[in-house]
Amino acid sequence: MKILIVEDQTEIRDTLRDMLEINGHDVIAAEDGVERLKMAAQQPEFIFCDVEMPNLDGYGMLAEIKKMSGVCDVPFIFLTARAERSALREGMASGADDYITKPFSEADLVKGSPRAPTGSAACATGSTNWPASSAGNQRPMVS
Amino acid sequence: MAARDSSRPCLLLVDDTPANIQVLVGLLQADYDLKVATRGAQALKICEQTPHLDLILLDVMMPEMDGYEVCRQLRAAEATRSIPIIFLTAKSEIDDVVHGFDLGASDYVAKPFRPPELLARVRTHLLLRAQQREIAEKNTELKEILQIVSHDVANHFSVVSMSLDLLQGNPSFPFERLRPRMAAAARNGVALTTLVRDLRRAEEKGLLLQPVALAAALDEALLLAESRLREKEVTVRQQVADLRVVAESVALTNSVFGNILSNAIKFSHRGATIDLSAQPENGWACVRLRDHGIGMPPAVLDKLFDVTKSHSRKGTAGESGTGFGMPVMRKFVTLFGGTVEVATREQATHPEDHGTEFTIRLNLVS
Repeated sequence: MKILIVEDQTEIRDTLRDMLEINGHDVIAAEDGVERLKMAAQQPEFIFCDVEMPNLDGYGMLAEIKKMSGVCDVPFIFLTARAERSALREGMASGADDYITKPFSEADLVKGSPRAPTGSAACATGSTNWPASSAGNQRPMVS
Repeated sequence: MAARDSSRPCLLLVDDTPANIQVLVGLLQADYDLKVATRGAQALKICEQTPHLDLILLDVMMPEMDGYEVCRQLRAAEATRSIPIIFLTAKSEIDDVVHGFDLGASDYVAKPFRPPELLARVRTHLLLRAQQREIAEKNTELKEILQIVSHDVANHFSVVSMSLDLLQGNPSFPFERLRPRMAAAARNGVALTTLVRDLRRAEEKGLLLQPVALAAALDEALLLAESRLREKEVTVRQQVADLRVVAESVALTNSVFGNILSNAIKFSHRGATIDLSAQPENGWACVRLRDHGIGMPPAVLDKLFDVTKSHSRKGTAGESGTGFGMPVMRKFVTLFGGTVEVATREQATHPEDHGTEFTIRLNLVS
Protein backbone atom coordinates (compact mmCIF):
# COMPACT_ATOMS: atom_id res chain seq x y z
CA MET A 1 0.00 0.00 0.00
CA LYS A 2 1.27 3.46 -0.84
CA ILE A 3 1.37 5.47 2.38
CA LEU A 4 2.06 9.17 2.88
CA ILE A 5 3.69 10.28 6.13
CA VAL A 6 3.54 13.95 7.05
CA GLU A 7 5.67 14.64 10.12
CA ASP A 8 8.06 17.51 10.76
CA GLN A 9 10.30 15.75 13.25
CA THR A 10 12.94 13.91 11.25
CA GLU A 11 13.58 11.14 13.77
CA ILE A 12 9.91 10.20 14.09
CA ARG A 13 9.39 10.41 10.35
CA ASP A 14 12.31 8.11 9.55
CA THR A 15 11.39 5.56 12.21
CA LEU A 16 7.78 5.53 11.06
CA ARG A 17 8.99 5.01 7.50
CA ASP A 18 11.13 2.04 8.61
CA MET A 19 8.20 0.52 10.48
CA LEU A 20 5.92 0.71 7.49
CA GLU A 21 8.51 -0.34 4.92
CA ILE A 22 9.45 -3.41 6.90
CA ASN A 23 5.80 -4.37 6.65
CA GLY A 24 6.01 -4.19 2.90
CA HIS A 25 4.53 -0.75 2.28
CA ASP A 26 5.60 1.85 -0.21
CA VAL A 27 6.23 5.03 1.80
CA ILE A 28 6.39 8.63 0.69
CA ALA A 29 7.26 11.16 3.35
CA ALA A 30 6.97 14.90 3.63
CA GLU A 31 7.99 17.34 6.31
CA ASP A 32 6.71 20.70 5.24
CA GLY A 33 4.19 22.92 3.49
CA VAL A 34 4.35 22.75 -0.27
CA GLU A 35 6.20 19.46 -0.21
CA ARG A 36 3.43 17.56 1.53
CA LEU A 37 0.70 18.75 -0.78
CA LYS A 38 2.87 17.78 -3.74
CA MET A 39 3.24 14.35 -2.14
CA ALA A 40 -0.51 14.14 -1.64
CA ALA A 41 -0.89 14.59 -5.39
CA GLN A 42 1.00 11.28 -5.82
CA GLN A 43 -2.19 9.44 -4.90
CA PRO A 44 -1.32 7.77 -1.61
CA GLU A 45 -3.75 5.14 -0.37
CA PHE A 46 -3.31 6.00 3.28
CA ILE A 47 -2.13 9.12 5.13
CA PHE A 48 -0.49 9.47 8.55
CA CYS A 49 -0.24 13.12 9.54
CA ASP A 50 1.25 14.90 12.54
CA VAL A 51 -1.01 17.51 14.17
CA GLU A 52 1.46 20.10 15.48
CA MET A 53 3.60 21.41 12.67
CA PRO A 54 4.82 24.90 11.82
CA ASN A 55 3.26 26.71 8.85
CA LEU A 56 0.41 24.43 7.83
CA ASP A 57 -0.65 22.23 10.76
CA GLY A 58 -2.38 18.86 10.54
CA TYR A 59 -5.87 20.35 10.54
CA GLY A 60 -4.87 22.66 7.68
CA MET A 61 -3.35 19.72 5.83
CA LEU A 62 -6.56 17.72 6.25
CA ALA A 63 -8.66 20.63 4.97
CA GLU A 64 -6.44 20.83 1.87
CA ILE A 65 -6.63 17.07 1.31
CA LYS A 66 -10.42 17.15 1.50
CA LYS A 67 -10.39 19.58 -1.41
CA MET A 68 -8.14 17.43 -3.62
CA SER A 69 -9.82 15.06 -6.00
CA GLY A 70 -8.44 11.55 -5.86
CA VAL A 71 -7.21 11.74 -2.27
CA CYS A 72 -10.14 13.31 -0.44
CA ASP A 73 -11.47 9.90 0.54
CA VAL A 74 -8.12 8.34 1.46
CA PRO A 75 -8.01 7.22 5.11
CA PHE A 76 -6.43 10.03 7.13
CA ILE A 77 -4.98 9.29 10.55
CA PHE A 78 -3.64 11.94 12.89
CA LEU A 79 -0.47 11.32 14.83
CA THR A 80 -0.50 13.36 17.99
CA ALA A 81 1.52 13.85 21.12
CA ARG A 82 -1.38 15.72 22.66
CA ALA A 83 -3.47 13.33 24.64
CA GLU A 84 -5.99 16.02 25.60
CA ARG A 85 -9.49 15.01 24.66
CA SER A 86 -10.35 18.41 23.25
CA ALA A 87 -7.47 18.20 20.79
CA LEU A 88 -8.52 14.74 19.68
CA ARG A 89 -12.13 15.78 19.28
CA GLU A 90 -10.99 18.67 17.11
CA GLY A 91 -9.12 16.24 14.90
CA MET A 92 -12.03 13.88 14.51
CA ALA A 93 -14.53 16.69 13.98
CA SER A 94 -12.43 18.01 11.12
CA GLY A 95 -12.90 14.74 9.25
CA ALA A 96 -9.99 12.52 10.24
CA ASP A 97 -10.65 8.79 10.35
CA ASP A 98 -8.71 8.15 13.49
CA TYR A 99 -5.84 9.33 15.64
CA ILE A 100 -2.89 7.60 17.18
CA THR A 101 -1.23 9.01 20.27
CA LYS A 102 2.56 9.14 20.28
CA PRO A 103 4.45 7.07 21.10
CA PHE A 104 2.92 4.26 19.09
CA SER A 105 3.98 0.70 18.38
CA GLU A 106 4.30 -1.17 15.14
CA ALA A 107 1.11 -2.97 16.07
CA ASP A 108 -0.76 0.34 16.43
CA LEU A 109 0.26 1.28 12.93
CA VAL A 110 -0.32 -1.86 10.94
CA LYS A 111 -3.06 -3.66 12.77
CA GLY A 112 -5.47 -0.83 13.35
CA SER A 113 -6.79 0.70 16.48
CA PRO A 114 -9.75 -0.35 18.58
CA ARG A 115 -10.65 3.33 18.90
CA ALA A 116 -11.13 3.75 15.20
CA PRO A 117 -14.51 4.69 13.82
CA THR A 118 -15.65 3.66 10.36
CA GLY A 119 -15.53 5.77 7.25
CA SER A 120 -14.38 9.34 6.81
CA ALA A 121 -16.59 12.33 7.28
CA ALA A 122 -16.34 14.54 4.24
CA CYS A 123 -16.38 12.36 1.15
CA ALA A 124 -16.49 8.90 2.60
CA THR A 125 -16.81 6.12 0.10
CA GLY A 126 -16.80 3.17 2.41
CA SER A 127 -15.02 1.60 5.29
CA THR A 128 -11.44 2.47 6.09
CA ASN A 129 -8.75 -0.15 5.80
CA TRP A 130 -5.67 0.02 7.92
CA PRO A 131 -2.40 -0.60 6.16
CA ALA A 132 -2.02 -4.16 7.34
CA SER A 133 1.13 -5.95 6.36
CA SER A 134 0.98 -6.50 2.62
CA ALA A 135 1.61 -10.19 3.19
CA GLY A 136 -1.30 -10.43 5.59
CA ASN A 137 -4.98 -9.85 5.12
CA GLN A 138 -6.43 -6.35 5.25
CA ARG A 139 -8.61 -5.73 8.18
CA PRO A 140 -11.63 -3.48 7.85
CA MET A 141 -12.01 -0.80 10.48
CA VAL A 142 -14.56 -1.44 13.16
CA SER A 143 -15.03 0.56 16.28
CA MET B 1 -4.28 42.02 28.03
CA ALA B 2 -4.90 45.17 26.00
CA ALA B 3 -2.44 47.99 26.44
CA ARG B 4 -3.71 50.94 28.39
CA ASP B 5 -3.37 54.61 27.65
CA SER B 6 -2.56 55.26 31.25
CA SER B 7 -0.93 53.24 33.97
CA ARG B 8 -3.34 54.76 36.51
CA PRO B 9 -6.10 52.45 37.70
CA CYS B 10 -9.56 53.25 36.37
CA LEU B 11 -12.49 53.47 38.83
CA LEU B 12 -16.22 53.75 38.23
CA LEU B 13 -18.23 55.78 40.78
CA VAL B 14 -21.95 55.06 40.91
CA ASP B 15 -24.28 57.23 43.04
CA ASP B 16 -27.61 58.85 42.21
CA THR B 17 -26.75 61.96 44.27
CA PRO B 18 -24.46 64.32 42.30
CA ALA B 19 -23.15 65.87 45.55
CA ASN B 20 -21.88 62.45 46.68
CA ILE B 21 -20.20 61.90 43.33
CA GLN B 22 -18.49 65.27 43.69
CA VAL B 23 -17.08 64.33 47.08
CA LEU B 24 -15.78 61.04 45.72
CA VAL B 25 -14.23 62.70 42.67
CA GLY B 26 -12.49 65.26 44.88
CA LEU B 27 -11.06 62.47 46.98
CA LEU B 28 -9.97 60.13 44.19
CA GLN B 29 -9.12 62.14 41.11
CA ALA B 30 -5.52 62.80 42.08
CA ASP B 31 -4.62 59.12 41.96
CA TYR B 32 -7.10 57.46 39.64
CA ASP B 33 -8.83 57.79 36.30
CA LEU B 34 -12.52 58.14 37.06
CA LYS B 35 -15.78 57.36 35.33
CA VAL B 36 -19.12 58.30 36.89
CA ALA B 37 -22.72 57.09 36.64
CA THR B 38 -25.84 58.27 38.44
CA ARG B 39 -28.07 55.36 37.36
CA GLY B 40 -27.66 51.59 37.51
CA ALA B 41 -28.30 51.06 33.81
CA GLN B 42 -25.78 53.75 32.96
CA ALA B 43 -23.21 52.02 35.19
CA LEU B 44 -23.73 48.70 33.40
CA LYS B 45 -23.28 50.40 30.06
CA ILE B 46 -20.01 52.02 31.14
CA CYS B 47 -18.74 48.65 32.38
CA GLU B 48 -19.54 47.13 29.03
CA GLN B 49 -17.66 49.87 27.19
CA THR B 50 -14.66 50.00 29.53
CA PRO B 51 -12.79 46.73 29.31
CA HIS B 52 -10.02 47.75 31.71
CA LEU B 53 -12.12 48.93 34.64
CA ASP B 54 -10.24 48.18 37.86
CA LEU B 55 -12.77 48.86 40.63
CA ILE B 56 -16.35 50.04 41.20
CA LEU B 57 -17.69 52.13 44.09
CA LEU B 58 -21.39 51.37 44.10
CA ASP B 59 -24.20 53.11 45.97
CA VAL B 60 -26.91 50.72 47.17
CA MET B 61 -30.03 52.89 47.17
CA MET B 62 -30.76 54.19 43.71
CA PRO B 63 -34.04 54.66 41.80
CA GLU B 64 -34.96 52.25 38.97
CA MET B 65 -32.11 49.80 39.41
CA ASP B 66 -30.47 49.56 42.83
CA GLY B 67 -26.86 48.70 43.60
CA TYR B 68 -27.66 45.08 44.41
CA GLU B 69 -29.13 44.52 40.97
CA VAL B 70 -26.14 46.22 39.29
CA CYS B 71 -23.84 43.96 41.29
CA ARG B 72 -25.84 40.86 40.39
CA GLN B 73 -25.69 41.65 36.69
CA LEU B 74 -21.96 42.47 36.76
CA ARG B 75 -21.22 39.18 38.50
CA ALA B 76 -23.29 37.24 35.96
CA ALA B 77 -21.29 38.52 32.99
CA GLU B 78 -17.95 36.90 32.20
CA ALA B 79 -16.25 40.20 31.33
CA THR B 80 -17.12 41.96 34.59
CA ARG B 81 -17.16 39.01 36.98
CA SER B 82 -13.85 39.78 38.63
CA ILE B 83 -13.97 43.58 38.94
CA PRO B 84 -13.85 44.47 42.66
CA ILE B 85 -17.08 46.13 43.85
CA ILE B 86 -17.18 48.18 47.03
CA PHE B 87 -20.69 49.07 48.23
CA LEU B 88 -21.33 52.52 49.67
CA THR B 89 -23.89 51.76 52.37
CA ALA B 90 -25.93 54.14 54.52
CA LYS B 91 -26.03 53.28 58.24
CA SER B 92 -29.61 52.04 58.00
CA GLU B 93 -28.56 49.46 55.43
CA ILE B 94 -25.78 47.90 57.48
CA ASP B 95 -27.89 44.79 58.00
CA ASP B 96 -27.95 44.36 54.26
CA VAL B 97 -24.18 44.15 54.07
CA VAL B 98 -24.32 40.36 54.10
CA HIS B 99 -26.75 40.48 51.22
CA GLY B 100 -24.19 42.54 49.29
CA PHE B 101 -21.43 40.01 49.99
CA ASP B 102 -23.75 37.20 48.91
CA LEU B 103 -24.14 38.96 45.59
CA GLY B 104 -20.40 39.01 45.14
CA ALA B 105 -19.36 42.39 46.53
CA SER B 106 -15.72 42.66 47.62
CA ASP B 107 -16.24 45.09 50.50
CA TYR B 108 -18.41 47.89 51.84
CA VAL B 109 -17.91 51.37 53.24
CA ALA B 110 -20.55 52.93 55.50
CA LYS B 111 -21.85 56.38 54.60
CA PRO B 112 -21.02 59.01 55.60
CA PHE B 113 -17.56 57.54 54.98
CA ARG B 114 -14.23 58.55 56.45
CA PRO B 115 -11.96 59.50 53.54
CA PRO B 116 -8.80 57.71 54.80
CA GLU B 117 -10.79 54.51 55.30
CA LEU B 118 -12.31 54.71 51.82
CA LEU B 119 -8.90 55.36 50.25
CA ALA B 120 -7.35 52.49 52.16
CA ARG B 121 -10.04 50.03 51.07
CA VAL B 122 -9.73 51.15 47.45
CA ARG B 123 -5.97 50.65 47.57
CA THR B 124 -6.31 47.21 49.16
CA HIS B 125 -8.76 45.95 46.56
CA LEU B 126 -6.77 47.37 43.66
CA LEU B 127 -3.70 45.60 44.98
CA LEU B 128 -5.60 42.32 45.33
CA ARG B 129 -6.95 42.71 41.83
CA ALA B 130 -3.47 43.38 40.40
CA GLN B 131 -2.11 40.32 42.20
CA GLN B 132 -4.96 38.16 40.93
CA ARG B 133 -4.25 39.26 37.38
CA GLU B 134 -0.57 38.58 37.76
CA ILE B 135 -1.24 35.09 39.11
CA ALA B 136 -3.74 34.36 36.33
CA GLU B 137 -1.27 35.47 33.65
CA LYS B 138 1.53 33.47 35.19
CA ASN B 139 -0.73 30.48 35.47
CA THR B 140 -1.69 30.68 31.80
CA GLU B 141 1.93 30.95 30.78
CA LEU B 142 2.93 27.99 32.94
CA LYS B 143 0.10 25.89 31.55
CA GLU B 144 1.18 26.69 28.03
CA ILE B 145 4.80 25.88 28.78
CA LEU B 146 3.78 22.64 30.45
CA GLN B 147 1.76 21.69 27.40
CA ILE B 148 4.64 22.46 25.03
CA VAL B 149 7.15 20.62 27.17
CA SER B 150 5.00 17.52 27.55
CA HIS B 151 4.29 17.54 23.83
CA ASP B 152 7.98 17.77 22.99
CA VAL B 153 9.04 15.23 25.59
CA ALA B 154 6.41 12.79 24.28
CA ASN B 155 7.84 13.27 20.80
CA HIS B 156 11.40 12.55 21.90
CA PHE B 157 10.35 9.50 23.87
CA SER B 158 8.32 8.34 20.89
CA VAL B 159 11.45 8.00 18.82
CA VAL B 160 13.10 5.84 21.47
CA SER B 161 10.06 3.68 22.12
CA MET B 162 9.28 3.24 18.42
CA SER B 163 12.87 2.23 17.74
CA LEU B 164 12.80 -0.35 20.52
CA ASP B 165 9.51 -1.67 19.22
CA LEU B 166 10.92 -1.93 15.72
CA LEU B 167 13.91 -3.90 16.99
CA GLN B 168 11.73 -6.18 19.08
CA GLY B 169 9.53 -7.13 16.15
CA ASN B 170 12.36 -7.33 13.64
CA PRO B 171 15.49 -8.61 15.37
CA SER B 172 17.56 -8.42 12.19
CA PHE B 173 16.84 -4.71 11.68
CA PRO B 174 20.16 -2.82 11.62
CA PHE B 175 20.54 -1.01 14.94
CA GLU B 176 23.01 1.41 13.37
CA ARG B 177 20.12 2.95 11.43
CA LEU B 178 18.25 3.71 14.63
CA ARG B 179 21.11 4.74 16.88
CA PRO B 180 21.61 8.31 15.55
CA ARG B 181 17.88 9.02 15.87
CA MET B 182 17.72 7.68 19.39
CA ALA B 183 20.80 9.71 20.25
CA ALA B 184 19.23 12.89 18.81
CA ALA B 185 16.01 12.24 20.72
CA ALA B 186 17.89 11.74 23.97
CA ARG B 187 20.03 14.85 23.37
CA ASN B 188 17.00 17.02 22.63
CA GLY B 189 15.08 15.62 25.58
CA VAL B 190 17.94 16.47 27.92
CA ALA B 191 18.40 19.90 26.31
CA LEU B 192 14.72 20.58 26.88
CA THR B 193 14.89 19.77 30.58
CA THR B 194 18.01 21.95 30.90
CA LEU B 195 16.30 24.92 29.29
CA VAL B 196 13.16 24.56 31.37
CA ARG B 197 15.33 24.42 34.48
CA ASP B 198 17.23 27.52 33.28
CA LEU B 199 13.97 29.33 32.71
CA ARG B 200 12.75 28.54 36.20
CA ARG B 201 16.05 29.57 37.71
CA ALA B 202 15.87 32.88 35.86
CA GLU B 203 12.36 33.50 37.14
CA GLU B 204 13.20 32.74 40.72
CA LYS B 205 15.33 35.88 40.75
CA GLY B 206 18.05 34.12 42.69
CA LEU B 207 20.55 35.22 40.09
CA LEU B 208 23.79 36.55 41.55
CA LEU B 209 24.95 39.33 39.23
CA GLN B 210 28.66 40.04 39.31
CA PRO B 211 31.48 41.18 37.03
CA VAL B 212 32.17 38.56 34.36
CA ALA B 213 35.08 38.53 31.91
CA LEU B 214 33.32 38.62 28.56
CA ALA B 215 36.14 37.10 26.50
CA ALA B 216 36.43 34.14 28.87
CA ALA B 217 32.68 33.48 28.75
CA LEU B 218 32.73 33.60 24.94
CA ASP B 219 35.76 31.30 24.82
CA GLU B 220 34.03 28.76 27.00
CA ALA B 221 30.85 28.90 24.91
CA LEU B 222 32.97 28.35 21.78
CA LEU B 223 34.71 25.43 23.44
CA LEU B 224 31.35 23.83 24.27
CA ALA B 225 30.25 24.29 20.66
CA GLU B 226 33.51 22.95 19.23
CA SER B 227 32.26 19.56 18.09
CA ARG B 228 29.27 21.08 16.30
CA LEU B 229 31.49 23.69 14.65
CA ARG B 230 33.86 20.96 13.48
CA GLU B 231 31.07 18.69 12.28
CA LYS B 232 29.70 21.43 10.08
CA GLU B 233 33.12 22.89 9.22
CA VAL B 234 32.02 26.30 10.45
CA THR B 235 34.75 28.86 11.22
CA VAL B 236 34.34 31.64 13.78
CA ARG B 237 36.05 34.96 12.99
CA GLN B 238 36.55 36.77 16.29
CA GLN B 239 37.27 40.28 17.34
CA VAL B 240 36.69 40.33 21.06
CA ALA B 241 37.79 43.18 23.31
CA ASP B 242 38.77 42.46 26.90
CA LEU B 243 35.64 43.73 28.70
CA ARG B 244 33.97 43.02 32.00
CA VAL B 245 30.18 42.90 32.10
CA VAL B 246 27.41 42.54 34.67
CA ALA B 247 26.02 39.00 34.44
CA GLU B 248 26.02 35.58 36.02
CA SER B 249 28.82 33.64 34.45
CA VAL B 250 27.20 30.19 33.99
CA ALA B 251 24.01 31.64 32.53
CA LEU B 252 25.96 34.02 30.30
CA THR B 253 28.12 31.22 28.92
CA ASN B 254 25.47 28.54 28.47
CA SER B 255 22.06 30.15 28.22
CA VAL B 256 23.07 33.30 26.35
CA PHE B 257 26.22 32.72 24.29
CA GLY B 258 25.65 28.95 24.01
CA ASN B 259 22.19 29.48 22.58
CA ILE B 260 23.03 32.15 20.03
CA LEU B 261 26.07 30.16 18.95
CA SER B 262 23.99 26.97 18.53
CA ASN B 263 21.51 28.97 16.53
CA ALA B 264 24.19 30.44 14.27
CA ILE B 265 25.76 27.03 13.61
CA LYS B 266 22.40 25.40 13.02
CA PHE B 267 21.34 27.87 10.34
CA SER B 268 24.76 28.23 8.70
CA HIS B 269 25.67 26.25 5.63
CA ARG B 270 28.48 23.72 5.75
CA GLY B 271 31.88 25.40 5.55
CA ALA B 272 30.50 28.86 6.36
CA THR B 273 31.96 31.57 8.55
CA ILE B 274 30.41 33.18 11.62
CA ASP B 275 31.52 36.65 12.74
CA LEU B 276 31.79 37.33 16.45
CA SER B 277 32.70 40.69 17.91
CA ALA B 278 32.60 42.33 21.34
CA GLN B 279 33.29 46.07 21.63
CA PRO B 280 32.44 48.89 24.01
CA GLU B 281 29.75 51.03 22.42
CA ASN B 282 27.91 54.01 23.96
CA GLY B 283 28.61 52.78 27.47
CA TRP B 284 27.52 49.19 26.75
CA ALA B 285 29.44 46.03 26.03
CA CYS B 286 28.11 45.18 22.62
CA VAL B 287 28.35 41.55 21.46
CA ARG B 288 27.50 40.83 17.85
CA LEU B 289 27.13 37.36 16.37
CA ARG B 290 26.52 37.28 12.64
CA ASP B 291 25.94 34.15 10.60
CA HIS B 292 25.68 33.96 6.83
CA GLY B 293 23.04 31.27 6.90
CA ILE B 294 19.47 30.93 5.73
CA GLY B 295 17.99 33.79 7.79
CA MET B 296 14.51 33.90 9.29
CA PRO B 297 11.13 34.54 7.69
CA PRO B 298 9.08 37.31 9.37
CA ALA B 299 6.65 34.79 10.93
CA VAL B 300 9.52 33.09 12.78
CA LEU B 301 11.09 36.39 13.83
CA ASP B 302 7.80 37.60 15.33
CA LYS B 303 7.52 34.57 17.61
CA LEU B 304 11.21 34.09 18.30
CA PHE B 305 11.17 35.17 21.95
CA ASP B 306 7.68 34.02 22.88
CA VAL B 307 8.10 30.88 24.93
CA THR B 308 4.50 29.86 24.29
CA LYS B 309 4.68 30.25 20.51
CA SER B 310 8.27 29.65 19.62
CA HIS B 311 8.74 26.57 17.46
CA SER B 312 11.92 24.71 16.68
CA ARG B 313 13.04 24.99 13.06
CA LYS B 314 15.21 22.49 11.25
CA GLY B 315 18.81 23.52 10.73
CA THR B 316 20.54 23.38 7.35
CA ALA B 317 21.76 19.85 8.12
CA GLY B 318 18.39 18.76 9.53
CA GLU B 319 19.37 19.60 13.11
CA SER B 320 16.45 19.64 15.50
CA GLY B 321 16.08 21.78 18.61
CA THR B 322 13.79 22.59 21.48
CA GLY B 323 12.25 25.91 20.44
CA PHE B 324 13.13 27.22 23.90
CA GLY B 325 16.64 28.48 23.24
CA MET B 326 15.84 32.00 22.11
CA PRO B 327 13.18 32.81 24.76
CA VAL B 328 15.53 31.59 27.49
CA MET B 329 18.44 33.55 26.01
CA ARG B 330 16.50 36.79 26.02
CA LYS B 331 15.11 36.23 29.49
CA PHE B 332 18.63 36.03 30.91
CA VAL B 333 19.92 39.05 29.01
CA THR B 334 16.96 41.02 30.36
CA LEU B 335 17.75 39.85 33.89
CA PHE B 336 21.32 41.05 33.41
CA GLY B 337 19.87 44.46 32.56
CA GLY B 338 20.84 44.15 28.91
CA THR B 339 19.02 44.11 25.58
CA VAL B 340 18.79 41.83 22.54
CA GLU B 341 18.27 42.87 18.94
CA VAL B 342 17.92 40.63 15.93
CA ALA B 343 18.39 41.55 12.30
CA THR B 344 17.82 38.92 9.67
CA ARG B 345 17.74 38.52 5.93
CA GLU B 346 16.34 35.40 4.36
CA GLN B 347 18.38 33.59 1.78
CA ALA B 348 15.24 33.10 -0.30
CA THR B 349 14.72 36.84 -0.68
CA HIS B 350 18.36 38.06 -0.40
CA PRO B 351 20.46 35.48 -2.26
CA GLU B 352 23.53 37.77 -2.28
CA ASP B 353 23.75 38.75 1.39
CA HIS B 354 21.76 36.73 3.89
CA GLY B 355 21.93 35.55 7.48
CA THR B 356 21.08 36.60 11.00
CA GLU B 357 22.81 38.98 13.38
CA PHE B 358 22.18 39.00 17.12
CA THR B 359 23.26 42.14 18.97
CA ILE B 360 23.44 41.72 22.73
CA ARG B 361 24.15 44.74 24.88
CA LEU B 362 25.33 44.16 28.43
CA ASN B 363 26.21 46.56 31.22
CA LEU B 364 29.91 47.33 31.37
CA VAL B 365 31.67 47.12 34.71
CA SER B 366 33.40 50.46 35.09
